[in-house]
Amino acid sequence: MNGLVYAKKHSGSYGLFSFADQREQTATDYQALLMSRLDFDVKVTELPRLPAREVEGFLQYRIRSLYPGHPEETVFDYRMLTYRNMRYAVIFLAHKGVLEEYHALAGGKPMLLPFNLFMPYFARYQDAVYFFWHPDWIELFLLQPGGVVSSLVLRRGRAMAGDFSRLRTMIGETEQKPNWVFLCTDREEGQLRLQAERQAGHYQTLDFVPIQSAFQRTQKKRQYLFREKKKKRIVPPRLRIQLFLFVVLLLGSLLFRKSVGRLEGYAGRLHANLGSFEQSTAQLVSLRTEGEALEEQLGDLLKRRPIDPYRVLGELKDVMDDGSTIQSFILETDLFQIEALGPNPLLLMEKFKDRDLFRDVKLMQIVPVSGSANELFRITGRLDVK
Amino acid sequence: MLNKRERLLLNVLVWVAIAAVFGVFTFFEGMKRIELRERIALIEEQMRRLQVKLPSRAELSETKKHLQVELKGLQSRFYLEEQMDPYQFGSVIRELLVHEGLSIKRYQTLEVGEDTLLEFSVSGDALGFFRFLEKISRSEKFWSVPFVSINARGGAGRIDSVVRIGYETIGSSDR
Repeated sequence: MNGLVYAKKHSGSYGLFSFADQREQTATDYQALLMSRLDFDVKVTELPRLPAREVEGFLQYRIRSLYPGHPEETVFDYRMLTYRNMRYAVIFLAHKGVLEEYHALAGGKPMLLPFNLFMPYFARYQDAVYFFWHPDWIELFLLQPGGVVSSLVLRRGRAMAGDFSRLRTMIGETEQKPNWVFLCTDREEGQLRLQAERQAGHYQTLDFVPIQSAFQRTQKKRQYLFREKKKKRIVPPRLRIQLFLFVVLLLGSLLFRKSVGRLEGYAGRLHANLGSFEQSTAQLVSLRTEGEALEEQLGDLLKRRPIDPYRVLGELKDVMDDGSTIQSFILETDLFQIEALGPNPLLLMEKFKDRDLFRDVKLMQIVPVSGSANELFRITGRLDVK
Repeated sequence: MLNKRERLLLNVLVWVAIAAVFGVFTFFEGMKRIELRERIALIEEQMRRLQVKLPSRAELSETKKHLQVELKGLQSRFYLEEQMDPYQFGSVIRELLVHEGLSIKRYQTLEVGEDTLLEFSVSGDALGFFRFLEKISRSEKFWSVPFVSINARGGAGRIDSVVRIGYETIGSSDR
């Protein structure tokens, strides 16, 4: 799989080519697309101290003086660069139509220019000249003392030596020898090294980085160019989570409040029910009290029911059904005494036990009557007048 | 214009304030909720206790009605104080005794506490005396007989008896 492929126009349309063999490829399993530097204009401009959100506006204004194209038909992207304590914007400009063709070719995959591949190396070398040795062109990015920050491009000639000669003219000579960093294919590295070494004295160090290795170091989205702009959201993503949390908290609180409100309502209804329940209970209690008072009155009156001597005599008649005859009978309140003549007063005592009306019945005296089977006996007792 | 650090600090401050507000709100609502639950449990317990003890209104009303009827019936068997006096009562009893063929040997009034009793000494047919006692038993009004003595030693179905008899009264306010 090719990590980075490059685009090249032939027969009127763009195709994808591999750095390894410079052949067109149809496979879509590449990671990113290197656009042709020839299709872009790269301008470097100093940036004044500006808040980040004002930079784009400043650059849009600046472009009018940097680029001759019609503003409506021009698209641009930019990256920030700090070199020797100065801030620069590296602006990439192209015609709108060209970019659209690249977007269609890339099919959503990241797109970049050689500057993206240079960026990871800026920290390593303070002053350097970066060469991107493309099969068809060469880009030069200069970071030289004296504020020389610029990007240049030239088409490759027939021979490498001739290219180098032109490059030397473009670079010029400075007091301080810069570092030379070459981004090239493995195939051309050897030849490039030879040519570069012939330029001995004009550089401090010489570094050769395979293009694919340089690409691997740029695996961060923010370094790619001309990403299709997503719709501006009213609420930035960072704030969305916070807003979501706030809404969740608010809803949770409202639900909690509602549940408390429901409990309040239930408690209120229950209290009202208790009130009416207590009222009806009070009425029941009053009814019960009246009933109890009536029972008491009734009880008092029942206690005053007089003893019925007729009933007592009737009961005695039932008990003494063995032929005994009453000689005398005294009833005073609830005490009674009888004197009677009968055959078996002891048996009578058993019968008295079966009668609820009589209690504490005692056989006081028995006197057999001579010449008779009867006995004269005296019984006393109490009446149970419940 | 705020820098990144200041924006972060402001963000943290805002969230601390939001958390504080929600925290306080949740705390007070939570306390209210606990209080309400306790109150509800208390009221429900009260209602349960009230429900268990009492019979229904219908039962209590029915009971009251029966008691009232019974009481009225019982009260009607008592004389009101102005309805009877000992002498009028004496006439009634005397008439009853005579009607049953009993001869009155003696009769007198006796004061026993607050009550006035009539004491009759009678003699006559035993059956007649029992009929007299039966009439006392079946009287519409309560006639009390705190003392009765019957002597049947004479034989031949005749008895001598001493009867103390009175009548029960009830105040008009007690009716």
